[in-house]
Amino acid sequence: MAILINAETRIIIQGITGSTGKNMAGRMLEGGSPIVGGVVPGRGGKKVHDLPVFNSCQEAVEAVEANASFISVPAPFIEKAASEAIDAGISVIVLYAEGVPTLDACRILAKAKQSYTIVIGPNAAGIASPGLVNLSDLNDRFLKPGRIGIVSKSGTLSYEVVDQIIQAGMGVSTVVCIGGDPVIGTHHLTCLQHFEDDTDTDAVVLVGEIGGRSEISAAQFIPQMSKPVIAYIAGREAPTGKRMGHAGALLGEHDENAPGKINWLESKGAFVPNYITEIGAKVKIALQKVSMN
Amino acid sequence: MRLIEFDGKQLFRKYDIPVPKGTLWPKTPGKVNRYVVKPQLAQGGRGKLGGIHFADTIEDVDKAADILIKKGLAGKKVEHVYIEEYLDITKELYLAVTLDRDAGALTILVSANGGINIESTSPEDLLRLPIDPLVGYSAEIGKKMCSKLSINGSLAVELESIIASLYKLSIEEDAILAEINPLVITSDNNLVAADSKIELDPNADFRHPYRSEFYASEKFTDFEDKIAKTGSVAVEIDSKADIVAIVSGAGVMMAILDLLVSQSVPVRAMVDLGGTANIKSEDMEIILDATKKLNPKIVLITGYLQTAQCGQLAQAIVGGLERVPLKARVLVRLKGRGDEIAKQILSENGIKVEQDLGATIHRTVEIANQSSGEE
Repeated sequence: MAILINAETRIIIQGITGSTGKNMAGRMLEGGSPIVGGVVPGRGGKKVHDLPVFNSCQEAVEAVEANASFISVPAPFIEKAASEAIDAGISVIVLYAEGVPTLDACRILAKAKQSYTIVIGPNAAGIASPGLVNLSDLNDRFLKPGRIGIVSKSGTLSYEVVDQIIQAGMGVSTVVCIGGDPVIGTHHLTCLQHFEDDTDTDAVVLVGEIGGRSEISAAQFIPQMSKPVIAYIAGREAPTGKRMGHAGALLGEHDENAPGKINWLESKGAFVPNYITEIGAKVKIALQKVSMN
Repeated sequence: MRLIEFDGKQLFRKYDIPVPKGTLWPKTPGKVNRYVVKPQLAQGGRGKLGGIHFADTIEDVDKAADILIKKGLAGKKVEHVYIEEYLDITKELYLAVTLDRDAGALTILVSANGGINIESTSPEDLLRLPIDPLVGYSAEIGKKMCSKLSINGSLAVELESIIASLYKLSIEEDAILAEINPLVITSDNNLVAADSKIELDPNADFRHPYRSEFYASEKFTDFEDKIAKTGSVAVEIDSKADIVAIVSGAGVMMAILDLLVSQSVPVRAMVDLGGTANIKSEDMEIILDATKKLNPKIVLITGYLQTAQCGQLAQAIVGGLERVPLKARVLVRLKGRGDEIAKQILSENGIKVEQDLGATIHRTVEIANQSSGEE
């Protein structure tokens, strides 16, 4: 039972005729993800990899019952594309682009809230449930189905975590990359709640970084969980005042730094490895501890 | 992008927020009773540093400004000095519009305890009202704020107008912070913005081309600037260290910094090529050239690529090193799409490719300790 999306999801790619969109479409088809078409205003009627292209999300919803969208248009056009998807009743949207103006993101989220649309991102790699559905830039070749859930701000760190989980002899139920921007549609907490209810997930790896309070809010929920949370926070050594790649990775209030977040998570019962390279081992330890209780 | 006070006040003028007469030195704001000489710095707390001077004559203004430019302030270079008309202040308020990232909305803050002491203000004295992005600002908000500050009559009308203008400025200029501290009430009962602190969202640069006319106040280093031109992001960290790491992905960049520093291996600088790492040969050349100037002993290049091709990055590395040979030891970790091809390309050029991140870091630490042992 994957979280947020599943094998019955019907995916469209907004911006499917662009190089990123075309690439994504090809991968989804190869990996067996349920992609049903694409949307590019003005290019309706065309085909990409034999998939139908529509002029609007509304058309796509009417023609092929699309209910999820991977939006791969450039940052300046994300607000318009997201707005259109929300208006058409799409339930889950992944905003892939980096560089989306922060106030655009605020407006998208306010609009999404009114219709209960799930927004992932912006600046998010997306969401994937190996073997079922892949709405992300994670390559199916490097994924393996299993029972460990992952929620991460960083896409590239999630690649490493997936790798370690597989090397430790386990697999992934769902990986959600929520994005590295300051304002994002889905935070760590929502994913923890979904994973707690997911019968296919036994433990959750939470990957965070400096900036914002997403990890701190998530920590408050951990005592209520029956499943262990293994939490890694990047940026312990990040210098103050410098933007560490991600727009949202900027040291702010004192407990928004890595040691502050680690304290919160540990105090609420999370298993915290010292290094990213210790995650696989930590997951095993956490599962053992829980099964002994 | 952080604006210097001078530019911030120009922006206030554009939105009809009252500011004192002021000019950028060596221009002076005409005949006034008294002048305030203000060094333009990125950091706050300027008053605490003793940076603000008062002067009664133009000669004194010139003297003070000259010293600031020549000597700097608290070890920082002062590039600009702003000369303002002195205000006769009876009260200092605090007003700001700022992004609440967890609420996903701009929030308006007011307090009657403006000035240097805003940081020690207790929460009850600060009113925060988030503004729903779809609903926007309404007069009710202004009225609530005036009431909190116990401001009535014509002053309340002025204040409500300033609050509305500051919010409008934030939306239209894509500002994630617009702070007036202090917003003063002068002895002749007028409201004036005595200071300005504005942070513009860099993601919105594309829709505000005039931003290039502002004096940028945050200083990126030469290295960081050069790398920025290639579309990647660089961060200089420890000027005494001698490792430069070029990585794919901001999260991995932070994780690698954590790994190295925790094993007592300091890092000179890091470059994030982005998760998609679609790096052209010419860009890699620029990155390696800038890196060379930092004189590193070790250059670590790492990527786990799932969208881009490792082969392309390998070509870029080989091409770059041909044109910019480095004295440094080059360590490469490449994994993901086309990693076998990448391994081949790099080994043909004498570079061994590691796949495991842990092993790569281990090797880096080993070499770093060796070379520092040799000194």
